[in-house]
Amino acid sequence: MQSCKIGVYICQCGTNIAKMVDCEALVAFAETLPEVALAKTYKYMCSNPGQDMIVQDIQANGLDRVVVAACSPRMHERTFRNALQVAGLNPYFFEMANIREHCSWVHDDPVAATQKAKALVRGAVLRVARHEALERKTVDMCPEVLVIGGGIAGLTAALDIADAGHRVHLVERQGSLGGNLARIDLTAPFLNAARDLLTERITRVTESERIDVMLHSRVVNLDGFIGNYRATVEVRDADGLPRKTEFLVGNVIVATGYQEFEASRITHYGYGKLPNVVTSFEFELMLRHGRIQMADGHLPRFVSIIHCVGSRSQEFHGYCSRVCCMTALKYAHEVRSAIPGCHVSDIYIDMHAFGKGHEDFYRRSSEVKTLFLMYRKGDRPVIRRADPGDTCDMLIEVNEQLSGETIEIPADLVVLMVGMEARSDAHEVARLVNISQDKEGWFIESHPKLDPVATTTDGVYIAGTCAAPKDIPDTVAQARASAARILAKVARGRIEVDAVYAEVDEARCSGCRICNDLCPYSAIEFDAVKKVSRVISAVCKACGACGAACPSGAIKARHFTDAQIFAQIEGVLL
Amino acid sequence: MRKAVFFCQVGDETPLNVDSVAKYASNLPGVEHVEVLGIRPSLDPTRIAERIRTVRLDRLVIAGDQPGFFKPAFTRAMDLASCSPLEVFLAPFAAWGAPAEDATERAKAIVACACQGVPFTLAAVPASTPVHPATLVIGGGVAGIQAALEIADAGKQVHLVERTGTLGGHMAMFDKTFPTLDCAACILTPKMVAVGQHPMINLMSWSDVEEVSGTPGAYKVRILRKARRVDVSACVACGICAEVCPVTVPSEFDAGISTRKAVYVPFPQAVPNAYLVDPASCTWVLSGGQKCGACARKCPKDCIDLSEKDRVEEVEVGSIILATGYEVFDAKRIERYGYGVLPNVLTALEFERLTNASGPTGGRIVTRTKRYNKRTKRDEWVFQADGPSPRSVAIIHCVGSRDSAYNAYCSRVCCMYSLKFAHLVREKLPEAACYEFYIDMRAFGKGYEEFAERIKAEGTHVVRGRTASVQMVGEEMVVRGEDILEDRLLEFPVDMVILAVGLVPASGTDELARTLEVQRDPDGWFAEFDYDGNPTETQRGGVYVAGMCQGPKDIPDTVAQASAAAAGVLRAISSGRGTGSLSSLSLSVIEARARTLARST
Amino acid sequence: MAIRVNPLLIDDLERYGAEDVQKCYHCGNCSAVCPHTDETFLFPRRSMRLLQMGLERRIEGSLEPWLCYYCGQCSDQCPRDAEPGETMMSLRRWLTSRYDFTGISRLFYRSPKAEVLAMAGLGLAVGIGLVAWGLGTGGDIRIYDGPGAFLRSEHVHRFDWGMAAVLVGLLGTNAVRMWWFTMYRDKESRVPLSLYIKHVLTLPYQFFTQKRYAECGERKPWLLHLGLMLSYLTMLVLIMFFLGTMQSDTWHWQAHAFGYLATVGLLGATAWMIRGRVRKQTPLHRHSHESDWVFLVQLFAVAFTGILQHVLHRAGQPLAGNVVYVIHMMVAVPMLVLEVPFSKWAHLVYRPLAMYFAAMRREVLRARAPAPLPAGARRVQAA
Repeated sequence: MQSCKIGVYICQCGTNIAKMVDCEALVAFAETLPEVALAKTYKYMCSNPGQDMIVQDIQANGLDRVVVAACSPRMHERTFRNALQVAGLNPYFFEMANIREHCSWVHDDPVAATQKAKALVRGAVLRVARHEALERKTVDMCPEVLVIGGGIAGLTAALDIADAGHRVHLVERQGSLGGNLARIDLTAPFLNAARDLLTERITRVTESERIDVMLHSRVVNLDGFIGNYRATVEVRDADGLPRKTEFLVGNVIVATGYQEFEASRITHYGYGKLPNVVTSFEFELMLRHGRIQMADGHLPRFVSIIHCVGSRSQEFHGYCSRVCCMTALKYAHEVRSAIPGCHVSDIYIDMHAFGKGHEDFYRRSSEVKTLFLMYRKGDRPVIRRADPGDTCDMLIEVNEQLSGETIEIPADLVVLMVGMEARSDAHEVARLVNISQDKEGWFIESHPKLDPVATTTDGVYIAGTCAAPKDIPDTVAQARASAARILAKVARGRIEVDAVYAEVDEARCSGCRICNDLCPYSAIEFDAVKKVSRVISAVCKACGACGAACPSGAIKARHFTDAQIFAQIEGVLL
Repeated sequence: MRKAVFFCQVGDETPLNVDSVAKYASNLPGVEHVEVLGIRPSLDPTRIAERIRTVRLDRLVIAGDQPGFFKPAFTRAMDLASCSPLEVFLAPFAAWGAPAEDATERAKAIVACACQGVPFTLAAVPASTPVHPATLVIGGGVAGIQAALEIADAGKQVHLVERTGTLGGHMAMFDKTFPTLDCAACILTPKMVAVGQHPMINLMSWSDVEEVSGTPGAYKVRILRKARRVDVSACVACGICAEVCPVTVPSEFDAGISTRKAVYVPFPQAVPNAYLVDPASCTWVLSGGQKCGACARKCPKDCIDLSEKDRVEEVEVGSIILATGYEVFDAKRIERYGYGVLPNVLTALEFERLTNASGPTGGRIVTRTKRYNKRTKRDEWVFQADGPSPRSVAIIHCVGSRDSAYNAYCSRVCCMYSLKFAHLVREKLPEAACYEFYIDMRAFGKGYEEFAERIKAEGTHVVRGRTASVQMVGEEMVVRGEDILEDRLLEFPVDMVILAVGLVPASGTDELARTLEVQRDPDGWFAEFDYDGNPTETQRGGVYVAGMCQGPKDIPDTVAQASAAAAGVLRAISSGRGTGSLSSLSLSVIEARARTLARST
Repeated sequence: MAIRVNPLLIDDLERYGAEDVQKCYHCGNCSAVCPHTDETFLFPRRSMRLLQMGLERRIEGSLEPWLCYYCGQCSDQCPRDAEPGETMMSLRRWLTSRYDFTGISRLFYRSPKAEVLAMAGLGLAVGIGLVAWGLGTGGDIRIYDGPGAFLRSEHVHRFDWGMAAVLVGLLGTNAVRMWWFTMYRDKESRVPLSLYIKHVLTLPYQFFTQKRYAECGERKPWLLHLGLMLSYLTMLVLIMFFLGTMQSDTWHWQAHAFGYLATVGLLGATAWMIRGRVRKQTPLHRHSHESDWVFLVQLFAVAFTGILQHVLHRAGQPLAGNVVYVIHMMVAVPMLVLEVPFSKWAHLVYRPLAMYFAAMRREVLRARAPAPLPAGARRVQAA
């Protein structure tokens, strides 16, 4: 191994790191490490001046290896690799030591934290000395796009891409387009007709010769990698017979939407037992057909709307479903309009009227004398049948927060604002397109703030309520955002794939094929002629599973060689 | 098919002539009955049902600013009259309305479509126009940055005009971002750098859009390049000029809680990372070149030219993205909170800077202390890094928001950033008591509710009740408010009060709206084309909105919307055709298209 | 045990003037700005809440409406224009109608027409009655005082006392009902007898000084109100005890001096108040219920006719004097019989009572162990 000149940079990350780790001491320590030419510390290494510092040092002092001790590589590895490239150095001559997430954020003893930071830096230094120059490859980008889900998100994304001149394959498992939005009559807070919105989208989608709509269909397989995915779709034709079609796409948009919370899970709302307790979607149906009535066909005199059914709770979903509040207010208006004499009460926790026109809508709901009753999170109202001969069908008992009174409110019809939840089969989709889910089952974006539509799998994007509850405008915006990403990629033609992947030393491979089934990304194919396994570098995510399992040690992961790993381990063991 | 058109109004006044629209409606094919019911009429479905029977109607159209508010009555009436309840169509004027002058014509078009049962947005599609491949992005905050990068990454030219001397906008001022608490700088600066270095982005900081002419797809934009008086390409931000500059003024970037020189760089990570001369405070500029000029003499790279003049640059673009962001509500307007009078009543932005590691106190949360200023010969209240830290902090929500006297709307982000503040206070000053006064805790986003729970668990006292006043009682500052959930009236002696000020459209929004012929909503934000279906386009072809300037938004929503706006632009550029302005469509054209569409379905 | 809400009460209260209460979204600003609210009596928000939810029994049992003097700060600062001050005012009207067992009050508040008709009817009856009486007792319309006077003061005096008895009877029963609603009906609202004695002085003190009103910040309304009330009382005393002296042809400076002073007070104050309601500058004056107008106009008319008949008499116009005297009675009697016990007038009794009751309740509630406060916070004590 030839000697090298390593530059070490300690980021203070404002005070994120500096408050727990003695950066000056770290610099002093780094300078003592083998082959370290210089060590520096700076407030924000990721900032422009920070990066310039690295570039200038490389050019001025002829550094050929760089270590940055800062945050997680997930955050800034790319940033600094680019800096190396700018300076004319191979980006893989870089190593990052995570002294924020792995150190300053998780410790409260400055001395020990500094000690740990030293170990991490030492590991990085020893490792980077063994790095090799790696070259990135570029591959073709197929301009066609697969959109999974024919709801408002899928339709919008498909249209944006098709209008840009690219072919779209829109897969919808139902027999019609529209998704959950098709179940809604009016949209909050301006009470526009959802039908107008959908008709416009669906008409344009079906008229577009660039969009190939597949109803009654499911994506059954997706392999390949960004720019070169091969999708297999099972389509049911008119007489319900399944047939498989295969096609190539460059990118995939997942817009599979949500399902509503199963109201019967909350026993003391009596859904399913009490005839006049309905879910918001059942009530929506009544509104659409102009028939708001009790089970016995009578007109209700008192309608009660209960918020946060399945949302914002310990036992069910901790999160807020984001749209129910406005929908509830919408119902209040609709009931007053359809049945002028009818009284509406609205039993809520916090009124989430945060969007454009929302607060105004809330004010108007008060003006039409909706009675707002506040209950405490976790202390749910209880619904019971009223005694025969009472003026109402049910009584709802609430510990009302704004008055401090325990009250009961008459109700003839109770509407449960069921929350949104991830589809029960979301995990199948996740596995299919290889993206991850959070603990609630929603798909995870690659960065919650600055990259809300991309996922950890290149070329796979998420849009709308499959990522988290959202209202229509935000869903549409997200759908367009994912379209933008794809349009940008397609416009560039070819794309670069990471240079870090596993390689099979064919001379040593015994052809046992253990790795073939082991690979979670099906990136390893078997050469039947040569009787050896081969890694499709573009598909490989360099997880290392194959390398660990290979009985004959024939598989080596680039940038994760044994030498490099051992050096790092030796490094951290101060 | 026998149709009826009913006119019902929600708002008290309307920009259009309802009678002439009604007259027009009565002449539409198949319309048997037209009725103007006035403002917020009390409708009786059974009476409407009789009408439906007697006139033998099979389709109803409700026309008005927001006709949806009356639809259920008519839907039920249809059911009572045993007609199809699905045959009720809406003609919403507010949704796709036009400004006063041609509001009436637009309303007619909307009614015509509804009578045909065709969505207005489907019939009213302006003829597409060829699109110039370059794009103008106005505003260099996170929205503008995101939109610019999306487009430039596709290899398309972007001109990014930023009013101040640097990219970053408000997000660059923040310390941490909710609910993940990763530092704003960490995630934003790389994007700023990327913009600064991007070969396809022409960054015009310290510039204003002066005039926009031309048509959708081919706009000519006059941009005022204000004299920076420092050569951006040569300046290495060594800071010697600032050292010698005698003038100190409040720093905008630090929200006024620290000072800067007349020649300054907004903050160390600024992009472009070069100094600029503030003509409003520079002695040389104000004295017409008579006095000072020290910076120019001292600059080691001779890159300061104090006599540099403003110049006007003209660019041709096909699309324009508005990302002009917001300003915070002026807390002085609410006297009872004592902002501007009591030294330790801060606005949210001021606190962001105070708690920010790169802020004047290096991130230490301290109260203002009195200091004698030799030059002004006056005592002044300043933040000093070694100042005393507050023993108790009150955070007041909804300052200027949800209040008919100021902004009736909710500013959407205050609840969450207030919770974030509470976390920062408790984290940095574990001994300090922290109180939040809120009305509704609006934790609606991904991970927000969980965050709110976490803050409560950390020991912040969350009090439901809008604080009435902040007053000095003797030596102590007292916050008075009702603790509604506990049904008691309380006083809280505190050392610091943070006002969660709401958001208002950035200054200059109205001029921009006029030059671009873009509509604004009643609250002053830019009006999107269609609230539900098209939140990123405007009625002006090729003009898009992104981020806060369309209405308050948190960062993820802003970023998503910015990318969405970019999608519109990329769609237009890659297909070579963009949509024209809605106003370019005549009534007869829309009518005709609606008819053909109705026939085809 | 849960209490049943009555979502429809709010519709009923609209007739009493509470037109905006439903707009309230409970930010608590009003309670916090109110100079009168304290740890035991938190209003107006809580009262507005009870009204929104239609908890009639709770409202009947609450003293808060009587503790509010409508300075209007709450309405000025309300972010939703829910008019808390006006809501409290409406609740006072509603409570007045609840304390009154005859239902007359309810009728008057809900239908001003009925009120005016009743006044006119009774007025007419009084007019005819007096003329008949005057003639029947051989009175001469041209003689004002002494033998042969058209309306002999001792007769009128007797009549006055009779009327006073009726009045006190009505007011008394209403006051008792108020006590029963607020201090006895619900177990938790009862207080030990000793407290009734301990705090009894609050009653006259508040009645004569109306000190609480002065705590509203602005003192002018209080002085005005106090002036009106004292003038009214003075006049009442003079009429009930010195009617003869007042009406005799000879001068009695002591009595007359007081008389004139009271008249000036009555005319001046009512005129000023009418002016205020016409200009609508303060929140208090922005909304005027019909009953408020009836109250002021009537009072002004009574005072005016009263002094007019006196002046005419003095000016040697016994005929005109007698005619105006009859008119005076035609206005005064309905006012005393129908207004005082059944409408706004009654607050003269209810307010001091409420403060008396409140003082006792406060003492009881203070004794109870309060819930722990957030660290550093403290309760706002009663002013």
